[in-house]
Amino acid sequence: MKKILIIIPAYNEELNIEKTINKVIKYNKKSKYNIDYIVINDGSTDNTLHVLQEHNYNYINIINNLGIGGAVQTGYKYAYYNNYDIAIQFDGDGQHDEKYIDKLIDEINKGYDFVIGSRFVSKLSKFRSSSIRRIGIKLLSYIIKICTGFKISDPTSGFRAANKKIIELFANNYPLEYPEPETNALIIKKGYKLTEIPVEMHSREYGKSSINLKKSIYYMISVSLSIIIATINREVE
Amino acid sequence: MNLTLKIFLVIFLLIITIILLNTIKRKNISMKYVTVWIFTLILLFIFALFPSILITVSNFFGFEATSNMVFLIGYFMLFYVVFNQSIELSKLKKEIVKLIQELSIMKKDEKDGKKR
Repeated sequence: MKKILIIIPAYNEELNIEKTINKVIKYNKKSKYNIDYIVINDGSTDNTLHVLQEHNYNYINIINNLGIGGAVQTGYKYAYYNNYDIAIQFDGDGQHDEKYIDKLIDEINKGYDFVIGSRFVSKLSKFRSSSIRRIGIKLLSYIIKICTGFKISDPTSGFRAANKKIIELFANNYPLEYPEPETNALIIKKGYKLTEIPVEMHSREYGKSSINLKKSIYYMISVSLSIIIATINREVE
Repeated sequence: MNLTLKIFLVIFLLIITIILLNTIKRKNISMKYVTVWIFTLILLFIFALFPSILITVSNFFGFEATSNMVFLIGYFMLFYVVFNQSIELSKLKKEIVKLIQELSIMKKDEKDGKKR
């Protein structure tokens, strides 16, 4: 039986986290796989830790806020140290739909190294982000296509599954800021097999997204640069 | 060079030297950086006392005014220092993140009564 871990990063998610974890726990009962989960509390300043302790959930409390990249990497390190075969990133804010977890795992079992849950592969997801963000996502998708020759329709998706090889790669090396597009490009460049499956996402119930609109231009420039650098670096190696 | 200016510069450099020595005494600076700063200070003392060296060099390279050369060198040095600090900071950040991650995982293992 394969060991499967859901990594749930959470930063100030006191209102969402309980619901998200319960969804995963409930899902595990009907899933054909046996799924563990770990919540990564990224030094939240609200009551997230208290909620986790109160319900005795399985969690790692990061002693100081690291940002999304550092938090998710902590999850991958935990997966690596505990010999997990598959790790799945699942946001703590309720945006991701747990009913696609099995489908992600199925693709890994088919032999893919890395699977991205995409909002844009088909018309499945009604929530597809604001139009400005969609343009940004398209642009990033285009840059990745130029740099790697491979099309990823949803490069910013944080709903992703990784096999053992990728878990090890991420445990040792994961960007701190805006990690998704860069790691996707890196995985293709390194020659791993990557695929996308359609998933549904929802708008978050409480709180704001970690990327605010004011910073989006800066975000676009840094992410584009990070993709280009990640793919060039590979050629130098 | 005007004598008043010369005296002013030397006093200024002496104050900086005292500050540097004090910092070293309190061990607030690592020896790796001390060498560079002491070396820079000695050079500045020499130039303040014997500005003719700088004037000769700047004439040789064709600067219109010696001050231009001094500022240019100053800019380059500052650029070098700041750039190196960026690298150093990134390295430190990486190390700190690693420490925080490992410590947090260790605390989790400890809570679970697990040994690695």
